[in-house]
Amino acid sequence: MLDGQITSLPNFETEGLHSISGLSSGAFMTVQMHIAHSADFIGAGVIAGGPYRAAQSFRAAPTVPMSCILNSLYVAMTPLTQATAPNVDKLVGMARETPRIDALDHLKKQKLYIFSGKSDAVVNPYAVRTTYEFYRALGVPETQIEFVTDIDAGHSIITDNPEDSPLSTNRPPYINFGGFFQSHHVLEHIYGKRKPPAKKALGEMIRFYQADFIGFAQDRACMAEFGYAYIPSKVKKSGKAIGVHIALHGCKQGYAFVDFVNGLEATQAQPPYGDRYITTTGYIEWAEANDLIVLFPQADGGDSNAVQNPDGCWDWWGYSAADLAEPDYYTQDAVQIKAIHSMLEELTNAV
Amino acid sequence: MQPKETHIQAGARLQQDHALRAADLVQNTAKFCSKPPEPEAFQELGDLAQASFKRATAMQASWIRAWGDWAAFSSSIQGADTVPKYFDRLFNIVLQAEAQLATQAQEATELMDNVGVSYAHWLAQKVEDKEN
Repeated sequence: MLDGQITSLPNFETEGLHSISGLSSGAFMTVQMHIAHSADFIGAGVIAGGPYRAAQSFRAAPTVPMSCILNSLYVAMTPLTQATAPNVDKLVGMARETPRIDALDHLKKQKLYIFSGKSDAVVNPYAVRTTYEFYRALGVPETQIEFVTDIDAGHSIITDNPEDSPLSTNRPPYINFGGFFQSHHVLEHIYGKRKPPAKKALGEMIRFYQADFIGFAQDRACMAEFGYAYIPSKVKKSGKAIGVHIALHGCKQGYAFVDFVNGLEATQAQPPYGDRYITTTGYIEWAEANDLIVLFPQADGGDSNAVQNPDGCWDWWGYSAADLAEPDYYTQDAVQIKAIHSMLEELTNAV
Repeated sequence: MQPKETHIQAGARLQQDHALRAADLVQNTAKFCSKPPEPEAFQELGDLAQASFKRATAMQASWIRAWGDWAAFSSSIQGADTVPKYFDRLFNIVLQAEAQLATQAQEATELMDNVGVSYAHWLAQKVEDKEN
């Protein structure tokens, strides 16, 4: 399916039914991008992710970058109790005052899938509950939100692949075997009951240069050389799709991720995650059956003074800002949001 | 981009940050105690203490398990059929212990930070509520 070619992203005619989902940092990023560009989406899937601008919950340290890091680690991801999780009223107030995002009213019609595994020790259930409450407070009706909290899963996207990790574990590559494909639940909730997933994804996987969409911020974007897009076979023939779904991997899941051991890139022990998030999590089979294009942008890691992102996470706490004291990870001007949105525009010939 | 620092500069900066965070915490605790807190605050504080204790206990249990596994691993040398392999197996024992110590030191400091930030966040909200 994936040949040796590097191509440009093609254009397609779509019905405009675009959506976004992600796991972990991809889920936090999903929320930032979903809020920033709510006019372009019909729904979102948040698997183990916290609410909008949670990294700025309170002033946790004298400097802004450190405050954002402490907030993200201990308020947004692993709060000790519900009372120490992000304060939803405060974050809603911040969202209402945030410039350079679409009008929040667009959210009221959207479908949301929000998931928290009972055994998730990385982004715990207290944190994810605030995401549900955040969307509710912004006027998304309860009937449009599927909030799943009753599965004993660790920090992971759940699959039906027996070779993936046991369901309740919290370990890389954070792809756990649970007897079903969670991506199908996400897409079915957003798009409604459609055709069952195809047995095989017979379409085309496109590899493209992400640098074309990053512009002037190459040094701090922390995005890998290549991104990928799945074009279903019927879409390739007809040039028409229902829309684009953006699937964001979590930390340590990008194709280019290499772990840092004792401060050095462990290139000799590079885990073979590769394109597992892209090809084995079930997105493309559902997309093949339902003429949905899937875009898989890819983050990269860095462990230096230039970029502090050793786990190859998406930026939801400000590491990619030009000025770290003024983080801008949550608006349409954020480097990664801008890049991913440009990819979406390119695929759809303007959203 | 963060400026390049020496080890001493980085350590001093982090200590200074810690001291300022501690000063903030003391100030907010004093503000919080200046008026009688609402009854639910005691419940929330109790929950916080209990959750901290639970995490510490779980961490300790995982350390005991990890050292038990290491003790079993280091009690004999398996598959050392050549001299290079013998040295490889010996160093594995030492390296595993070192890695474990480093992980546990990191986990302990993370838990301390987690408890400190959680308490500071809770307190900041209570003080803000009182001031409004």
